[in-house]
Amino acid sequence: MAYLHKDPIAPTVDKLKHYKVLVVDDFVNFRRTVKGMLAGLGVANIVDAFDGESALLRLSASKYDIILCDYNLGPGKDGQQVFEEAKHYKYINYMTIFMMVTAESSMDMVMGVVEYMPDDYLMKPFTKQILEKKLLSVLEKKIALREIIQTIEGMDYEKALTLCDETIGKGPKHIREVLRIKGEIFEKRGDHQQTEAFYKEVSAMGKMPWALFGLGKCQYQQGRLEDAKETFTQLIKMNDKVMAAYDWLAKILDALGNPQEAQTILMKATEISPRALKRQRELGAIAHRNQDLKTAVKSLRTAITHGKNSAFKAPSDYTTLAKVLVDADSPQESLSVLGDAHQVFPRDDVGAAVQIGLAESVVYQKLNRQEEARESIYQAIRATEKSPEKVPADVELELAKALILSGDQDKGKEIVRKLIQSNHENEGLITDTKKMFEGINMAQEGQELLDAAVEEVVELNNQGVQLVKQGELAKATSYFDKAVEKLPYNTLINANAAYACMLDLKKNGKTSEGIRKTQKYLERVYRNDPQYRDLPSLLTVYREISKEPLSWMTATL
Amino acid sequence: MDDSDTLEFSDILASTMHDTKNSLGMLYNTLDTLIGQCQEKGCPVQKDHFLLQYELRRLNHNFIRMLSLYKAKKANFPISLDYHSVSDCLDEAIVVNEPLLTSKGIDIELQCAADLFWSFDKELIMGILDSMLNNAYLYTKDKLMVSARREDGYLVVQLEDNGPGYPDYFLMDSRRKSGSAGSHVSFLTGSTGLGLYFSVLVAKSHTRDGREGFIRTMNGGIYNGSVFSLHLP
Repeated sequence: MAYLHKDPIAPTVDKLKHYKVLVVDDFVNFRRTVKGMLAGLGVANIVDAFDGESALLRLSASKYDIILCDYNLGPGKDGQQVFEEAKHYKYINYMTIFMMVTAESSMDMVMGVVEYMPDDYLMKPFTKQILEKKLLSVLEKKIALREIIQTIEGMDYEKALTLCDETIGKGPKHIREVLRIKGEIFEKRGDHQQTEAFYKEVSAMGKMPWALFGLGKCQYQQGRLEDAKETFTQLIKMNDKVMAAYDWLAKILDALGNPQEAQTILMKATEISPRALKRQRELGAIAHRNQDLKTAVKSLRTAITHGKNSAFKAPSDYTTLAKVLVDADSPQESLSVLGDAHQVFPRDDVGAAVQIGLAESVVYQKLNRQEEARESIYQAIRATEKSPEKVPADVELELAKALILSGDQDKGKEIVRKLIQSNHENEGLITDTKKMFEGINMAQEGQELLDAAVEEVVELNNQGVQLVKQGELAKATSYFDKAVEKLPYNTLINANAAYACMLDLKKNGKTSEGIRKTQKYLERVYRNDPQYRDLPSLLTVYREISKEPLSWMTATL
Repeated sequence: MDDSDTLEFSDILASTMHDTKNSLGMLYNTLDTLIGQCQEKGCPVQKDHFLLQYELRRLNHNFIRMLSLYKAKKANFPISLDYHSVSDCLDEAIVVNEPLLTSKGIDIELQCAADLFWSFDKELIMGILDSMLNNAYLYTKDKLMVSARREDGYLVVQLEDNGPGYPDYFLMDSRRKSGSAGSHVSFLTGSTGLGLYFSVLVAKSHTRDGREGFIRTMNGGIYNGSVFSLHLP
């Protein structure tokens, strides 16, 4: 059991003995040495791992307080990848100490930015004294900043900013971290101008990669693509190991209408860091669009290889490769790739089953095996019907398209209608849907379907909002209860249901049932879209009526 | 497979160095454990142990420099700037070197304001400081002053000792290109020269508003010994 996460008292050397530590290094002598040092510091609970995969396995099985991970772990994942996966899957959280151990210098080491920066680096060889000093100083920092992090998780951004300024007021000790955190808060609040001004101010103090990174992202979000391009280019020029900068630059170049240049950037990045799965996947997709089939095949094959033991593996690695192979006139090879995909993804992964089935139908069509093409689609549909789980929106859209193309228009359109009603504010999805209909020469019909679907939701919502405005809170609450039953995945309906419920509780007195209902609606909003624009203000209202923390939001404790 | 099955000799050299450096690390850690055990028992061979430690650290610094220069040749010299507490960094460098220096009765003093923060590549700068502190084991008599301050828009980190001082050919200001003191030839007289060369490269890679970092070596200072200073914009 992890200890650090619930201990509020400032750390001392004496405390170290309660912590659980994971030592990751491919060199057995080194693991032994470090374990010896830790034992010398009184740590009793020490586990070790010899490579990235086994480290992640250990991290997924139980919580650790401290991870000492070598960067260079041989042929598998490197230390940065272990860190990023562990973070992504929440095996570790803000309070976990992650120290990157480096061999000679970080020069050929890939750098993470913002939330993917390890707590500190330990350069080999190091002594027990240095290990102790670094661990204690990181611990002290984590505990000092814990309240700020928790406040951010609760989306109380105003209070978090006040806490940041208070911390800086107490002394400059944690200024670096606090500045970084402040940038994150500004980003989360979504005021782009303020965020940009902040990052510019920080960059003027010294061109820190994380500040330039934040600046570039913010310029992109304001649609200033040329400025953003300039910022990321400058960042890469200063430090060519900040890999996330390449991803952004490629995305921007693509948006500027230069998919060829975007591909070049991603190829450069994969050359520096060939094991990054997601980037290989991106490169595969963009190379496919650029009709550079050779590069597409190569990078998707790499993605598949590195994905074998990774939690980041995705069915699209296989299905995109299958489509590329069809374009390259190798349909047989394509089918064998999809056969592998069936082996790799568990049967109950409906999203995967649907994607693979749809890709198969494309290949069979190419091979002129109509019967099997149709059968693949129906298998996919049966999978979705049997499963209570939500299938990703893009997969559903693909499924609808395949259905319409195979002649089952009604079923296909019904899927689109439901999908749009759950996501009627999702501009990206609506654009994709329009494009889908245009692509199959049904632009007019598609537009009508979309309009009707959106209108129905708006109407449903407006009636409830009307009741709230009239002060009919009890009526509004039960109205939205029914609306939510009808559209359980719609973010706006859930948000308004929570709001009506909270107003009712405020006015007519709190009931535990009402609070439970509110929590349920808020959780749905959060799960659908953690960045939902009205979520922070809904949470402010929630804090007025209940002190009960929302467990699904907080990861620090 | 493209041309990857024929290795460049420099790559072989680098990978061998990397491996050797790992062994060196193990030697260093074993020695550290030994020193710890000896100290508990108060055994008399301590002095030799520390000399060993000094030499191991010197080797380690040499490896780091060579590997860094090798990588800088392969790509550019990437630097990771961040905002750091100067006193924390100096403190860290001193903690590493303290056992060695105090074993010879060298007294280390640190003068740095707690609120002095600066933007630099911590790892590279720590590498320089660590190596300079280790050198002090051989070159100072019994005093070492480590100080940092802000001066004319630069961060100045200074090491002063009460040893015999630098020989003339070592006196330099890296902003000046010519002259015996600044020329590259003098860098190659012994590994300390190479160390200085590396320090200059690191300092120069720190730029801001058109200004570059630089290194100065002088004789004199508060203890009338050698004075090494690192200036970062």
